[in-house]
Amino acid sequence: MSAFLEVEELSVDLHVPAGILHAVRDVSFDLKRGETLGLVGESGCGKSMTALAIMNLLPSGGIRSARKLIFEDQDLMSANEKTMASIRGGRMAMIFQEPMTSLDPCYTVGNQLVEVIREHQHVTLKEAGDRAVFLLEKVGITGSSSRLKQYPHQLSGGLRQRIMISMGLMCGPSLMIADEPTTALDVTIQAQILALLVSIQKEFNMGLILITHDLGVVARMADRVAVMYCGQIVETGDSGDIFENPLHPYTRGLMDCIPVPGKTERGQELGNIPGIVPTPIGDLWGCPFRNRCHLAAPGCADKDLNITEISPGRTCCCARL
Amino acid sequence: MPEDALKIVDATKTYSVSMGAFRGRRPLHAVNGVNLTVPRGSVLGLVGESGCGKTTLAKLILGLEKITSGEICIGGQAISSLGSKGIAKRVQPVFQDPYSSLNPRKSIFKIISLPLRALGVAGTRKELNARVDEIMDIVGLPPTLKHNYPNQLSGGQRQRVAVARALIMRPEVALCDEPTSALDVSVQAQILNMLMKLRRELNLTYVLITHDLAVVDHMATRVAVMYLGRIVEEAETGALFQKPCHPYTQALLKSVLTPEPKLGVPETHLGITYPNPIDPPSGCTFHPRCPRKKNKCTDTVPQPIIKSGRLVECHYPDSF
Amino acid sequence: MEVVFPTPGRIMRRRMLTHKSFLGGGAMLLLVFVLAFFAPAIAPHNPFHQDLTNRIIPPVWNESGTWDHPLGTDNMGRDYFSRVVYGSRISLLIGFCSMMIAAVIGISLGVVGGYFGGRTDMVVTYIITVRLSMPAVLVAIAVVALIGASTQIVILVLGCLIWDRFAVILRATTQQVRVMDYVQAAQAAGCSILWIIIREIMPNLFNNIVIVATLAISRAIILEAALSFLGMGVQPPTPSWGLMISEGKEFMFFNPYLVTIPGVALFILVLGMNLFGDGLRDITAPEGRL
Repeated sequence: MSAFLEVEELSVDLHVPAGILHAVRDVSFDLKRGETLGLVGESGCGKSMTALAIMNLLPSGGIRSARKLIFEDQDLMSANEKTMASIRGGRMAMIFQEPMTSLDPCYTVGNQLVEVIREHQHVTLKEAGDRAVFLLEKVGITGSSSRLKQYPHQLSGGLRQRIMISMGLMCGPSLMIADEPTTALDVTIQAQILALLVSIQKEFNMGLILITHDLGVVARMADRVAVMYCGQIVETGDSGDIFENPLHPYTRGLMDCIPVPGKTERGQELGNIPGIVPTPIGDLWGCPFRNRCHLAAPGCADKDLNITEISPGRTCCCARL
Repeated sequence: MPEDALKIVDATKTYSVSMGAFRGRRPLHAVNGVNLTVPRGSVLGLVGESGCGKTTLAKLILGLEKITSGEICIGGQAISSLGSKGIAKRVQPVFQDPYSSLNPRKSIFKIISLPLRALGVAGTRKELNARVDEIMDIVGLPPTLKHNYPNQLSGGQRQRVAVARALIMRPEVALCDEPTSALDVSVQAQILNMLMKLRRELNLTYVLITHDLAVVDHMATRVAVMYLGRIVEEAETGALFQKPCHPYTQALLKSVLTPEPKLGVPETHLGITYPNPIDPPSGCTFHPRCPRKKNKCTDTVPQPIIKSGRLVECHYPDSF
Repeated sequence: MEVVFPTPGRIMRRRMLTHKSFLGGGAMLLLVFVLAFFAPAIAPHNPFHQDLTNRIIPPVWNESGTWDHPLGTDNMGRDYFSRVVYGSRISLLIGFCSMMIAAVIGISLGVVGGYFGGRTDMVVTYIITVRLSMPAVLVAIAVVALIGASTQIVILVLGCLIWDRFAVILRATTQQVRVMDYVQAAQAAGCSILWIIIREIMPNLFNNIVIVATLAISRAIILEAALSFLGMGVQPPTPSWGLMISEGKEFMFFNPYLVTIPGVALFILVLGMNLFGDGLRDITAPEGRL
């Protein structure tokens, strides 16, 4: 079976005044077409950086390295900028958290949608416009022909995010990466946008990488989940598995922290993970979570950390299991 | 008889918004006749989405904006009769963004001691130091951080500083505006635990403004749901979460994404029209998005129904 | 693996030592400061002493130049090097004093307009617009022509003319700072308006003030040179660089050094000031989180 997206030992290093920041360390995962992978973790864990590394959009001073980075049988590590530019927006789409800053305030919505497809395919203006109207209707926007003439500032956050999604769909991508797509939106709008993503994904049979810090979103949306901490993936598995039976102490700690209506006892103390996330600068060894882990033992500081495969598709990176 | 910590009667705040050059001004009723009572020692959760007016209501309670009509009483005293210093002694805020709620040019000591110094009750240097040390200990900050600056602290630590600053005067009411939204999940739990502990120890009353219903369910005694400047439903937390009666509350609760994988993404049946506070819909302001809309909803404004400790403003609420 | 975040002071110091504009501009300024401060020790002759037998001696790199007068003499026989050295005092004095007056006017207007908004802001904006629509040099000339020229008048007039950039920039920054949560927290803590403006908002404006100040100084220096060139500024025999250019312009074609030397001095001072201000802006820019 041809690989849809294969990532093996992807690492990203950034040069900062204090030294070398290992933003992403040896991240590996696979994605099948039509599948949703939830990449979940707190701020600074490297999840956004992983997505940027896949698209080669790292900030200046960022260096990526990987043993394997293959998308639809194409090696992304050796692809030059021209090839990457044709893949981005074409076969691979990305939507971001802040729809206000992702849309250019100087151009109409229609302009920006049409620009995307004309960058990648030879279509006439009319064909591009028709596709834009088709997609706007797909994402649930009514009165699309008049919407095309509007400017971003005239639209609400939810509408703008729908426009972003339709921009991503213009060229019929096979992979969509959504980086915190609903964090800036109201709760009811969030539910609508997520439902939209699910239906679009089914219809176009896209692979979806959903990056978020919200465990609830990941639980409801993702088929498979990868939990990240301090640049590393600490646990992966099917979402049902992970939420019913979290193995890594960090994952369990996270689950204990969240109040769940109906499950957590009202007014009781929430579980908490003592300490703060360390910054991965300079030489690193052992488990990054050991300073905060109640299971920590001297062996956790050993140099090499192996990802153990507990069962097919289920991995966990903990020495104490 | 203990007075209510906070009593809001028919509060309204109207702004006059310019519609552009040569197009005149229109009124924006950010808060439109809000009635709330918060008994001492309880936690009121105020939920609503952007544009509902909860931030404006918070500013009215803090005295940062002048109320257009209606009355707000803290501990029995109307804020119109208290000056800004009087209000400051009784109610203090904890803001959402730990990165903009602390003055980057001031040391932690100066930030925390600000209310004491501003109200002229600082006392001697030694006394001030002692009080700052005491509150830092209560919120769980090491006293060595006194001479540091905000940029040297983590998000969780900054939020603790914000809480310390709010509580150093031992106010009656602490108004928390999204106190944990900008924090990581693990830090959020620490801050929430701290807030719960402090409420018990210092006998505080909280007004907790947030969009995160899971937090409200966990911490609040009563919940009030706001929509376009009015309270559309108010009830005791357990009752509201078990049986929401207003269609907006029902949609809100359905939108809460709990980490239960088998449930999938909920369908809220809300439609995508977005309310415009300057040009609110006629009758019941929720009707364009309501799945139960009938003719009456477009013409008549629903009157509040108060029964068995619950308030609902809807023509066709679920029975309670 | 823990990283200690440095204090804002330490961040600034680290940036200061590596920024080229800052260091280059700073070096030029230091040179002029040293000349001005130690003028009596550095200048070989009295700048006012006329010696009509030694008029228009070219600088030392010319064949008829001497080391006795390294930069030559002017048409009154006064040593040019000494006049350049003492001229730096005039430029710096006028630059600083005008800047201080402009700062007081501009900061007050800008902060008041930015903080209060509404009608107050409308009035402030109107005042700024009126000032911006007047060409500074012409107004200065007109005023001086009415009142009479002297160093003090020049300082006053320039100060009352170059405050516009202070007002515009500080108004914008005050508006930004005013809506920050920490200002609202200070209001909620019961701080008076004066307290908030002076103790909460102004410290955050400090960076901007310093940067605008350096630019204002260089602007004042150039304006003073222009006024003196036109005879409307500092009066002879005071050694102002602009005045020196004016006095030398008759002999420009045969003895160009009379004009180029004070011109180069002006250039170095103003360039140094601008580079320094540029560097300051970069150094005091807000830090990211790491």
